[in-house]
Amino acid sequence: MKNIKKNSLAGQFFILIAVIMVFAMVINAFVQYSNEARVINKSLNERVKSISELLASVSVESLLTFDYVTLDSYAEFTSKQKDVVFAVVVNKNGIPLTHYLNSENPYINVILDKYSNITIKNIITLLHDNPSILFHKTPVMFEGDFLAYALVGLDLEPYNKESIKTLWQTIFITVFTGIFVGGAIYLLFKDKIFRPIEVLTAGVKNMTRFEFDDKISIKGGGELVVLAELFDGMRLQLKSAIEKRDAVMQELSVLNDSLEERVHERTQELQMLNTKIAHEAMHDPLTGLPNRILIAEQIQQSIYHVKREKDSLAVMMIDLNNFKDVNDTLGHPEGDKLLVNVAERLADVIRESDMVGRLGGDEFAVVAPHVNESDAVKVANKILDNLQPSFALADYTLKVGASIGIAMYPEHALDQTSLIRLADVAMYEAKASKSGVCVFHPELDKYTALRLTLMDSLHNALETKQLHLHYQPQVVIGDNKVISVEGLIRWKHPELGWVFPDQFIPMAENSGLINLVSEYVLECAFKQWRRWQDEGYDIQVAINLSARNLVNPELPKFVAELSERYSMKKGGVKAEITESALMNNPDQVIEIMNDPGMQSLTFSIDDFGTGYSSLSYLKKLPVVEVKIDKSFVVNMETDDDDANIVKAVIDLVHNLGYQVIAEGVERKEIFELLTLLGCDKVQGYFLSNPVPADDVLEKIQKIELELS
Amino acid sequence: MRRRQFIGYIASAMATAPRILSAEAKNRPIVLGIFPRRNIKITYKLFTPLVKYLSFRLDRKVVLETTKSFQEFWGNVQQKNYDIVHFNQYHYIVSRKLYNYQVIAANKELDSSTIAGSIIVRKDSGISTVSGLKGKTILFGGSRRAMQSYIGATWLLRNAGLQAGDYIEKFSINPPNTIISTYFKRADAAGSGDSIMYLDNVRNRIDINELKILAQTKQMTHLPWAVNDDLSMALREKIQVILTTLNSHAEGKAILKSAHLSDILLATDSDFDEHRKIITDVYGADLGISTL
Repeated sequence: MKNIKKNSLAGQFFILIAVIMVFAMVINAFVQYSNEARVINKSLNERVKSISELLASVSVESLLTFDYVTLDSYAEFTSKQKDVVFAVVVNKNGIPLTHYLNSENPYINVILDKYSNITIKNIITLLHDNPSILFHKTPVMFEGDFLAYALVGLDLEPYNKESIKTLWQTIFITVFTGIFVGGAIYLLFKDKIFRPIEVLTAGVKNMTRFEFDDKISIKGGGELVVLAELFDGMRLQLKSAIEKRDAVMQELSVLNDSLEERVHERTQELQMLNTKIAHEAMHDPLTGLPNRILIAEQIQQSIYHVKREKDSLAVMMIDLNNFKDVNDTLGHPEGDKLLVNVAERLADVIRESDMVGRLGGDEFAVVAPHVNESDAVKVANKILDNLQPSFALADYTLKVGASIGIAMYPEHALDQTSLIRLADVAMYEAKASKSGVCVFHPELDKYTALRLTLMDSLHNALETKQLHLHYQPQVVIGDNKVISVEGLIRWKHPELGWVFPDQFIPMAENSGLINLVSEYVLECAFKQWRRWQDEGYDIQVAINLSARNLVNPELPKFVAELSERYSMKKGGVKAEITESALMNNPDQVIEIMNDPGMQSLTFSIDDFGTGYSSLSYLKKLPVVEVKIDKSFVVNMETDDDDANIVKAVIDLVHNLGYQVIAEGVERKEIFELLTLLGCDKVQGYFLSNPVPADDVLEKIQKIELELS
Repeated sequence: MRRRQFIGYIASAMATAPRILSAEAKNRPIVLGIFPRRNIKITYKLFTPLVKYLSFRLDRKVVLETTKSFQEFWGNVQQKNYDIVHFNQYHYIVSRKLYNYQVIAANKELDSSTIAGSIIVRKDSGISTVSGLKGKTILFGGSRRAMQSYIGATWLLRNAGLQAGDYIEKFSINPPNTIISTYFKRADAAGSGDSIMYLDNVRNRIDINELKILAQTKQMTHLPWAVNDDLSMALREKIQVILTTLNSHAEGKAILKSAHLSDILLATDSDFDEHRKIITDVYGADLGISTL
């Protein structure tokens, strides 16, 4: 018994049986107690009633005979009955007619000790409030007449004490019996049930600790022996399964280590890649400088800092002069090398707190916090000075100028987008004015607005035929005849009036609209040629094609359609192509020029002398004419160098077998000098300014008349 | 009246004749009769020590006899069954007249050798004169033969001009109960002896301060002790000495105390002349014997 553990099955079984037994027997004891109490209570009620009635019956005679002494003796006799606290006869008003009270009674004794001179009536009143006293009042009657009441109080305390004593005895016996029976049942079940269960429990505990070596067995027979055999079988199966699992786990552990190592490697690679991607997202791959995103971020952060310190900030936009020509003439690889060199020099010249970045193409930006406008100009000039020395490329040494626009925070704008835009505006102004450095001022923004307006209107202009060709006659020296005209595009804006090509052609070039503009010009030329043909005039129409047109693979097809539509004969339209455009990608240009779709066109090299032409390519070009750049012509009557260059070019071109035409002939002296130098054709304001198509024939007649 | 008296004498003589012969016999116990002033149990309790003492002193067995009622008691008196008898004054006077009982002593109770007939009322009754009892209920102790409680009280009523029928006459078993009943308002007035109110069995039961004596007679000798004239003079005297000397020794005092008596004093028949006068005033010359 003493080995019983409270939480064990045996312990619980023992406790359960004992508790059930005790509970049932205690309930039984209480029921018995209640029944006995009820019987005793009834019996006591009967007793007090009978005593009261007896006193009442014997009191009749005494009351009738006014024998209060005898009446008192009856009360005394009754009061001395066992457990009677008092017995009195009272009148209808409760006044005691007997005076005897047993002063030795504990209840009365207590009252008498507590109150002196207390009346019997008050003593009875106090006793009446005592729950341990059972009262009964019987009327004393004689032949229907009320005489008095016989009032008796019976002490319940002895009965209550006896009942409680009996109850406790019963409970004690009950609890003892419950524990005894529980113990007896436990002993009976101990060997049959609990011991086998302990063996099974120990076996299962071993298994939960992965200890499978101890056999689980129970002696004897019955279901628990079978259960033990099943448990033992399970033990053996689990042992086998665990051994197999451990082997697999060992293999998995090795594989897991390898996998972890590979994952670690991949993670490191990914981290490096992410770092690289993050760097590339913020930096220009060619120069390694911060790109537009990082520059914008830097401007934003710098604004935050200088704003807090109530300081200023300069944003500079830097654009290389004529970089496009470098790309066109030397090719992109050389252009890229130049950009890398420029980036290095820019990085060298700025302060540690500044940031230089490449926004795209040949456009750079510098963010210089904590500088005022004056300092910003100094920094810009320092940058220009640093770019002044020649750049040594693989085969060439180049000088590259730059234009710098400056916008100041907070004087010009308060956010990074506006600062970049205004610095860009200032940069364009610097480039246009060739001033090198330009600080933004509000007036510049108006031109910017104009450019944006023009860009927006150009599409509409193409659709609504706002673009027109004006024609400038080209005169054959010697014959003094006009056999060709150059079509020059003009834009009559409904609000701005005449807009010149240098105002919108660069925008068209940059925006990609140039192909549409060129197709429009080609169609106008073809159409006008056909009109003049139909009117009986064989006038060749020259037009200009840009470098972008010459890499447009759709161009030959378009020209072929026009040729068929207007029944163009070869040479009816002449395409002038700038020397720099030709030299930018000569092989591809030559391929397009030789395309069958282009067969109706003849070609002329425009602005010759500025594009670093290769003689080897010049020989291969399918051109019939070379136009000397007007920069050599306009002052040639006073500038001997220009005159010599013009003479050399005329000789060279003639030697290559092509004709020469000079543009920019604005004075008679130039016309005469070119005549002397053997130039084949001339064109310029001395002869005629560009005129609308309807005025061309009249202008031709006038020129020919004046020259004749 | 005479005829009835005569028959009484004859009957008495016939009844006492055998006793006369044996009264002096050594083995015959002396019978002490006590009138039912109290209930039988109490009477035995009070007087058993006296009986034992008499027996000792007389060297004869003395037996105590009492009855539950006056009728029964009076029957024994008539038959002269009692050798020594303790009764009220009226019964003594009648027994003297009819049966020649001889008074030898009288009680001293509450240190008083006399007692007066009284009419007692509650102080809160509003009754201030005896004549104010007209139409009221008056409770008398014992019976119409009670000397103080009835005869004395009636004498007071008659003197106040109230005749029978002017009030309601009721009786309790004894004088103490008349006072207790009046206290409990079961009657308007009590006819009783003046000292009864001060007995322990009265004042222990009620608050006598709420009562008052409305009227009372002259003080008269207390309850008598008489002897049968059959007893020899020597025995009579011996008994008288024993009784009247109780207060002279400790044992006797204890006996007196047990009997709720202050003393027993010598008394002669002349001590009861005042009683005879009152009885005559109430009952007439035949002392009410005809109504016994």
